[in-house]
Amino acid sequence: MPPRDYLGALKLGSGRNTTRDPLIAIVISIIIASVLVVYPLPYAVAAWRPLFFLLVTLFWVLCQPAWCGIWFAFFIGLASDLILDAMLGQYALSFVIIAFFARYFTRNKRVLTFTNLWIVVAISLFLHLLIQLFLQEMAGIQFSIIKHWQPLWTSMVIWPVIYFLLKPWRES
Amino acid sequence: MQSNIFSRQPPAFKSFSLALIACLILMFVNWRYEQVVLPLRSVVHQAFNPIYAIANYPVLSSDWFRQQVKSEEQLRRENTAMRAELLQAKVRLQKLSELSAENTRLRGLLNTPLIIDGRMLISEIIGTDTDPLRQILVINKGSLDQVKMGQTILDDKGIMGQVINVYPHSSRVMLLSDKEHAISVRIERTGVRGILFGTGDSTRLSMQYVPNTADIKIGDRLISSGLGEQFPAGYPVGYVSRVQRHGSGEFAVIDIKPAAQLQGGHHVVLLFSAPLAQEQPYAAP
Repeated sequence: MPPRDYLGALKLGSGRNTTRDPLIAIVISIIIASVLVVYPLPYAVAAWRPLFFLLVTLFWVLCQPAWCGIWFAFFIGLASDLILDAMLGQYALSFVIIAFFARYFTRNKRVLTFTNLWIVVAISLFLHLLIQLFLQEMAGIQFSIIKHWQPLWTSMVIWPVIYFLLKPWRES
Repeated sequence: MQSNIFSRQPPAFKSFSLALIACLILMFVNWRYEQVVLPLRSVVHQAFNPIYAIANYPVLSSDWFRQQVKSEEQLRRENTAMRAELLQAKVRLQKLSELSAENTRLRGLLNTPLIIDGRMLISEIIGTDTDPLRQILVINKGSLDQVKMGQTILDDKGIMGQVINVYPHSSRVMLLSDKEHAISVRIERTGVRGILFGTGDSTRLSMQYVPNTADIKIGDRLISSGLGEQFPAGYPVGYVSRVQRHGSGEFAVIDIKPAAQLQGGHHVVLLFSAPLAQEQPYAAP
């Protein structure tokens, strides 16, 4: 049967990637991301810090769906709540929502080209900041609106770097 | 078969809604029962100590590196400057010791064994809080060095803030400029009292509840009043940088420039003296 042959070829071609166990890569990427998240920056540039946790979570949720899903996003979100001293559940909520919708709209695997991933990430970042803005507004936290949107640009710039660093562990 | 390869299962809606509900419960718990969450936060901060250490390593090591590569001439120059400074400090110290002796004599007359200066501990700043909304520092002394909650932090220019969390090897310090911080102050020249609030901006604090008619000038020095028993009295806090008096309001709008270097600086001093307000004068029975 032609389809089955095609299938076998596909599996063979991607054999190198599928044998890589991403567990260690996941753990290390999270540790490095948390170092970058707490790295001390001067107050003036602190608002430009990219959302490393969200980017790493998005990469694993989109590119390694067998390993990382909603609960992965939930626990990373909870960790960032605790590290960033935010309201408990604030980041977890937006991480969970973003992970679900990012996965929901990328059910077709052919969609996941580099450019499309970038677009998905940009939309996710925007959604995340919007949810954060909404929650902060609800909690009565006043913060400069310009500074609030600054991480969007730096995160989008840093995404290709994260993507190509983690690409070897991408699910084929 | 083909669908298994080319398209992927969307994540289960059930786990999504479960996670969502978990988030909402967490937010509710955090809002309603904050005392339950606080120990958890402190445990996580402790667990994150190695991460903080790694993150701060480049900062500390670059400082170290700069020390190593200083040229001899630079060192000589620095040495001369420091000698001069030391001399000046010694002269001042002489005067201070005289004042201190006088103080002791006067106190002796009054029969009040008050301790003015307690023990001090020099500590290094090893990090800043990640949240740009907050003005919090991390220092490298903790409960193993007898650091306590609410302890006052100073630098060479004035009060910086107070300790809000204590971990074994580190503590977190809330600066005067944090939005949630307030300190009771007095204007040195006139003795007008007020409360100094942080604004979230490390170069500007706001003094509130001072009547429109109060005698306040730009450049007036603020010292801690010791009221509220949180901070010791008499340490410099800031300088008046702007005064606005609106006819409509009851209170003047006063901006204060903090005396301490809240943005820069590497070392801070932890003060181990109880606020003067708590110390009772000795009264002979």
